[in-house]
Amino acid sequence: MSILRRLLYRLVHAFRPTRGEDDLDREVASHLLLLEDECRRRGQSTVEARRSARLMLGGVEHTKELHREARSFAWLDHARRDASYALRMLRRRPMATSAAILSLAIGIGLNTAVFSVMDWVLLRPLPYPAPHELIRVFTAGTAPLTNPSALTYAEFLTLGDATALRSSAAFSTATRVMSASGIESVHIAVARVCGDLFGTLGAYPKVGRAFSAGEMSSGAPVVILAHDLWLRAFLGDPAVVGRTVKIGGAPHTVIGVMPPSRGYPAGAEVWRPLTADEREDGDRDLDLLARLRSETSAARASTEMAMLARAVSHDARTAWAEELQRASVANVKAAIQALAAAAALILLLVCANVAALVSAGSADRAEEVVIRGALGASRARVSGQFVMESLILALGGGGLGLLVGGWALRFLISIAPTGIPRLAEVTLDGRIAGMGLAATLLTGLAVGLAPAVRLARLAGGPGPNHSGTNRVTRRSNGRRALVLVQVAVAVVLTAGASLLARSLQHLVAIDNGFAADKLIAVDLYPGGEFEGDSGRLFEELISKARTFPGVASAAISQGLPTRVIGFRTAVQRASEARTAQQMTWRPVGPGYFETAGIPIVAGRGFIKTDTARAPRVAIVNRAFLRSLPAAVGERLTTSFGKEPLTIVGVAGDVTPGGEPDRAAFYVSIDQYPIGGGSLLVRTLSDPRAIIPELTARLHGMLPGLAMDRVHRVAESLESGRAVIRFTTLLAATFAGLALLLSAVGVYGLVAGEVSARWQELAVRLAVGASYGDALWTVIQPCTAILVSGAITGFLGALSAGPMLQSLLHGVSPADAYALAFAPILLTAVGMLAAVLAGARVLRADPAVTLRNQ
Amino acid sequence: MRADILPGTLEIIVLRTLTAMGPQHAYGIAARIEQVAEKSIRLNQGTLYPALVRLEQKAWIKGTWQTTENNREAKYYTITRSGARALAKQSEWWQRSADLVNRLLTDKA
Repeated sequence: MSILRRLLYRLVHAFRPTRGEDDLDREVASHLLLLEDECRRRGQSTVEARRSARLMLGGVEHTKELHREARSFAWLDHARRDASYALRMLRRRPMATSAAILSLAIGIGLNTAVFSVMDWVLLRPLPYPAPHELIRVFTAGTAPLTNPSALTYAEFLTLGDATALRSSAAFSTATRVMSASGIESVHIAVARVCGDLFGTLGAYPKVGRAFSAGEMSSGAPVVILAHDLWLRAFLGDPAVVGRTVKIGGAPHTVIGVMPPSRGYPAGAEVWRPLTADEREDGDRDLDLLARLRSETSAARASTEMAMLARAVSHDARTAWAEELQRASVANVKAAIQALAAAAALILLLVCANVAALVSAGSADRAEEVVIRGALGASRARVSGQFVMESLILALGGGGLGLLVGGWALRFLISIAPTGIPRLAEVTLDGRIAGMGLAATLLTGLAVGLAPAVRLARLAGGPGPNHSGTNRVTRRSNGRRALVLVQVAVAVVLTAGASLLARSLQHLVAIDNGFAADKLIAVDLYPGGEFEGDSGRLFEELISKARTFPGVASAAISQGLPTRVIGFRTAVQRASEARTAQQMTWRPVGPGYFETAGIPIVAGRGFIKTDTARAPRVAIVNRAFLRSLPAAVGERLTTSFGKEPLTIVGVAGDVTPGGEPDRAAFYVSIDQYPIGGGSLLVRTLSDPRAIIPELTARLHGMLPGLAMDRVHRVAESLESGRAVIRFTTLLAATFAGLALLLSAVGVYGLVAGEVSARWQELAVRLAVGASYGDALWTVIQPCTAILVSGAITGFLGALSAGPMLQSLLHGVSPADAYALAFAPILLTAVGMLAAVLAGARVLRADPAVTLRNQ
Repeated sequence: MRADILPGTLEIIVLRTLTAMGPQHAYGIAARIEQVAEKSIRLNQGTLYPALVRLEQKAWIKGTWQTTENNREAKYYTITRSGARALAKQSEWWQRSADLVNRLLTDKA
């Protein structure tokens, strides 16, 4: 009870510090009088009595302070006073204060944004129970050695049954058109699954139900929708369960909807059971997802997988397991880690700048501190004052930083390449914000404490004099070191950014083997939606597209020139019964080579007369001729048709993004009809301007056809280098910031140098030194720092380069141009900042300066 | 040898003084403590104030302004009923602790 009562009183007094003060004055005064009376009674004179009374009491102010401390929470009052004083001091230096707060905001904002991304994409476990148990299984040929690839259904049955696995599922995705009454037909990614996908993930539909065992074994026409698609196409209507939708023309019943961001693979929009036909086809198109038994590991499962795969394939194939999380982030990990490192370096630069700003301010205030010390302020109170100022700076910067972080994160997500897992889920959450604030406060303490402690020492010093001032300003070694570090860090970041930029430049300059600019691809899967001859439909589409203003040419093909892989078949020359070779074949329509911009280097392209009734013709690419030398006019036999093909032309290789072309031959879709593919349209100007109108017009003519996938071909090429483009953009931003921050650092250093040596400079100028000499005096120490910072940074960049290795294409991490560029740029910018800072101060009139002393 | 007052004991000493002397001002309390301690205790009289504030805030003592016999005004503190209870409790506790310490220090075995 009494404890609570006391707490209450103290709180009241803490917020009303003057309350009780009058009473205290009165009581202490009366105490002194009583003591004086006593002393006089003992025979002391009035003056002596006054002195003894004060000695016996132990100091009037001291007594009052003791009383105040017991009466209220004095530190609270001190903090309040420090805060208001600090605000006044900060307002008196608006430039320095806003510079400090803004740079803190940028540093902390960037870090919260980048660490949010890192947290979600790399660190946060997948949103499924016991996510570490989830694995992906890959197989590869051992003889001959092949790239990691998917599984056949037979392999899934063998490997999915391994003892290390608790449950397993396999899926393959394909693009299909979904239509239903009342909705626009759309292209969707359909995952055809077998095994127990939802049980393996531990995630189930939130509306409706999962597939039953019966539906799985019979391959029933039932589907589960992804949350996104459900919202987009069905406006989140729960009554969708039980509705019939057509997928690729075949009716399916919707039985469930997954929760948001759940389900695998992440891009799937619809799941349906693998049909019996699809199981039997023997295609190597199944991805295996499995859950490990809790007592085993991915490594141990790999051993078993390899054994099983070798056993069933007679040692021709092997298999291994990878943790799902690791498998899904493998390609972006390096980029995100590099980003995080860059963001942390930026924060370091920011701290250095804020420290410099705070200590520059504190140097000017040495005299103030000495006076406060002489008036009885304790060291703790003086340093508390400075720490409070830095804390206010830090809090201001941190608060603003969270705002900046929110924007930066939105910006990051908006420019991020597709394919970064879980990016859509990333948000600034409480943990990251808390971490950001903690980092801020630590930063505030760190940068405030050093000058605070240094200055507090003055408080106990001999009193106000100029030697006190000099003692502080001469100690700029710490600041010089900070600027050196800043320059070095900025060099490292700039070097990294220029490496990435050169890599990007290299990628952009790559010859694709076809003209990707001004090329539009319209995905077409008319199957089921369109009654009639697809060949006729394609012809109609092409003729409509060609009449559209701004269109140069149009053609149909099954695949896009951005992909070199495709169907393969055994091919041999008819004249020579040698062993057949596996070749890729590509069905394309008339005008394809012209539209895609692939050169015909010999013979001719496909023409109207290459009809179904005419003799079969083929156009081979150069890679084909390298593996199977043949001439125009020669005949080929293939395993997909009885009729031999006559080579009528030779086309150039396509090398999208620099990938070498496969040995391939093109056939005409008039002779080998296709069910779906793409309409390629070459435009005369920027295709972006034409896309909306073109889409609308084609859709108007053929309303049943899904027209939601229309894109620039260059875009899909770019997606291959999207990660590097993204990283380069960010790295350039970071490098720009680093450059700016270190320029501010250099500026501050020189400005500090000038104010510290103001008198000396004024004297020199007064006795006839030139402004150039005086300027050189102040920037000379800075040049030394710039040069050593640049060298340190250069060495740093040289050793940090390999970290970027996996992000670089066609550029060595020790690329001379990129590495030389950074230190030169930094030195130049630094010198500029130094000259600016020096010149500003030198404009002052030396006579005025001297008179003021 | 002169010693500082054992930390934490000042409050109970003040309460005890007020019980023994009746209402008293800060100087009177200090003078009385010095007199009882016979100069074995070093006391800046100002250090009494925190204890007085604490006791007053706990409502164990109550201060009122009165006039001394020499016609000086002074703040006289009176022990309250809850103050008396607290004193009883704390002196008992002190006695027992002191006894224990004493026995431990003089134990010959």
